[in-house]
Amino acid sequence: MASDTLSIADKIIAKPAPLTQIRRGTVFGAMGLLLVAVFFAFPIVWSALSSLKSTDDIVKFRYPLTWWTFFPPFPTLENYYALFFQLNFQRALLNTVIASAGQVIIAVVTSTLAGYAFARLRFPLRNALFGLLLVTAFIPLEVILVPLYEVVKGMGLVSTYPALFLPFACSPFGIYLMRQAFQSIPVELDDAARVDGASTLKIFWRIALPNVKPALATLVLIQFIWSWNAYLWPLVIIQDPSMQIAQVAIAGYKSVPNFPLDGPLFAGVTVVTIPLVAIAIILQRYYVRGLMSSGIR
Amino acid sequence: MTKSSDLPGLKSSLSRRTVLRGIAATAGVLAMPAILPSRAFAATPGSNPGKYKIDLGGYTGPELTNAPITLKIMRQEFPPEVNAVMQAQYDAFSAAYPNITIQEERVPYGDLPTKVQVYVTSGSAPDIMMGRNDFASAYAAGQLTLPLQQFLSADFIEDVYAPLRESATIDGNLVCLPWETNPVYMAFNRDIYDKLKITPPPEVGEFDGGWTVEQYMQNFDDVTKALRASGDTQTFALAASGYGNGGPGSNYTQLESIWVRMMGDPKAAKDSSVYNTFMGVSEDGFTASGYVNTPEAAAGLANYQTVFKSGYTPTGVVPDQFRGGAAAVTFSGTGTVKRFLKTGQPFNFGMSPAPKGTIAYTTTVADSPTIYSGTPYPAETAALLAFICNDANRFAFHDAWGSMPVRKTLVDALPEYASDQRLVLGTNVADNAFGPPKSVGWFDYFSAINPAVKDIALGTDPQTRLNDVATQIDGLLAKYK
Repeated sequence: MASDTLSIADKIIAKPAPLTQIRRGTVFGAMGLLLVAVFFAFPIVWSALSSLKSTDDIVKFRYPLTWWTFFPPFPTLENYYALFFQLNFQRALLNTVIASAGQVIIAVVTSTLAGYAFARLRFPLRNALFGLLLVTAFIPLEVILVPLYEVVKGMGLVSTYPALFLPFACSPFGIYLMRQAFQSIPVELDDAARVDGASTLKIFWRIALPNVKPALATLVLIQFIWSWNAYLWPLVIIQDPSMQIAQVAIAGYKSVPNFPLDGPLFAGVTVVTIPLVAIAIILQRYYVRGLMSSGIR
Repeated sequence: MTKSSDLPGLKSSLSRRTVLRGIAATAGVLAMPAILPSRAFAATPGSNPGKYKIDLGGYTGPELTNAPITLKIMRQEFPPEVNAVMQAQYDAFSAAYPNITIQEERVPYGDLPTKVQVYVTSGSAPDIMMGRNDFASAYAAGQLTLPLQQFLSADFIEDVYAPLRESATIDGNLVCLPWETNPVYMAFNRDIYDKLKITPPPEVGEFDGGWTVEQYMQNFDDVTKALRASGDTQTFALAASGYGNGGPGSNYTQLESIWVRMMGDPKAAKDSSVYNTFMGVSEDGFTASGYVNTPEAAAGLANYQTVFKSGYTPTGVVPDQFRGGAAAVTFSGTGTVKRFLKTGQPFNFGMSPAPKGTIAYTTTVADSPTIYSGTPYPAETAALLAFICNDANRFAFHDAWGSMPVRKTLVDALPEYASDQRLVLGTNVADNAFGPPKSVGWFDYFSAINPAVKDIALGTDPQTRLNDVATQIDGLLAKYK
């Protein structure tokens, strides 16, 4: 008994040590993560701060490095004024929003339906078709650029919104992600619903889909980021300047060497970064859970 | 209306795909310049009012069709002020020819080769595409463009500065029309020289009246020592290149070739090493060995290496270093002059010729619109291009954009090019500069030599690296034979 008491006392006395270690580890871990965060956030913050400088100040204070290289000596919103009132950037931004929305919607629809089919339905060559689908994920856009352009042109879609997202309606990654997520749902739920007379579509809609919300959020986030940052395809398929997307428009500001538009360029970069950061923060919880539940780590 | 199939094209055994693959391999971007005020002008080869419904400039082809057609133009993006000038020109053309609709596509400058590749490979390209004179051999070999002399008067073509005209002409065919130019010479920051009490480069009007490369090197050394002695470790004697990708090995076509080809001589015996150094590539355009790796070329790049090794210039990219006041001298051109004059100069500056080697050598490169060989409306397309390039429209463009005209009569009509030494020198350089070596595989040559030049700048032995890259370029050019 005495030894038992001593043992408990020892344990009580011994407890703070590991806690301190844990706290110390947590602090170091947090500091490490903070450093990583600063490292990744630095270019975004720098470009946002540069957007508050005039183009002349950007050139003047760019080199040698001083505090004014990073912070605006005379903060101004003139770049944002130029961006929206002279360069008509809002039109390009609207085009990007429409293209991204279209991409997200169509990819979510096709990926959930196809993912469910590959996960739950039995049909001939199911695995072979799935394998073939995954292979297409490894073909870079550059390889199929010209034939894809010819197909879309043949459909009469050049310089239209559907041209921006229709060729990417089938997302191999999205289908894979959703297939993995649907596979994690117990089959018994399907069986029970089927016994109750539910159709396949009803099971998909009422039972399967509500159970894969984290994966769905991941899919939305990834498709949005992918579409929002798309460059090469919009560059090729959009020929009407009024239909061009924001990223290509920003590249146009970069390409005027003797007539620098560095200020509006940084303002444009800042504007297009905001939605990405916002949606990443909003969906980050689902994003991690979605990747975990689908087995993609 | 004339069909492109009726017109004499350029004969070549090369496929378009081969040439386009070469274009795709090139990612270099040229920096194009500056700013001009508009002026009244006299009748010139670029002005021809009364002959057609509208002043079609140097156009001499048939009257345009009455059928409704659409012409497509692809060009680089400009600032809104310049875009507005271009749009006004399209509107004026369409007002005279209401049956002709003009559709314009604007592309970030560095992406023009990608767009050209996709369009031409797919067999459907805009009628007018913005190209570059240093790619003229490739345009001709791939039969990508229509020869322009069949639509434009000889006077109009002759009016283009000879170096540009010749670089855009392949086998007697003008395959692209130089549009604006930026001859390369030197700008210096007078305030820095005054502060250090060191003599700046000579301000002369003659293209060959400047310092030798040895004099420049001595001056860089003096400036660097004086700066460091005063405790200034941030300012450099020579600014980092702002051409192409910037820094060492930035853009051989427009900048680093100066260090090499100045050591050659086009008037030397044709079998001599010094002649080959100037040529840069064999006459048929397929061999670089014995041309780019001569002892003279290695000596030229040894000079280039010295400016990095001795700390005269940064070893990395420093955007706008000269404009930011952190360099005494930079390779530049009329673009800098016009910009400083228009927007206010941040410091006192002067202009001087580029360093001289065996010869006074500098480069000239120009954006150059082309007419797609597959256009169904060659005459109408040529007329539109000529209209955009007529005197009035060129003055309006150069006024808004600030670049230097490529036609002598236009430059002669602008008084500042006769009175301001900094621009007088520019006109003389434009008249005496040289185009890049002519090779159908210039894309490959260009892509291979830039990294080699960078290696040399950062310390690799010039002769060894040039031998390696010459062999590499030979291999790359072999596919065009």
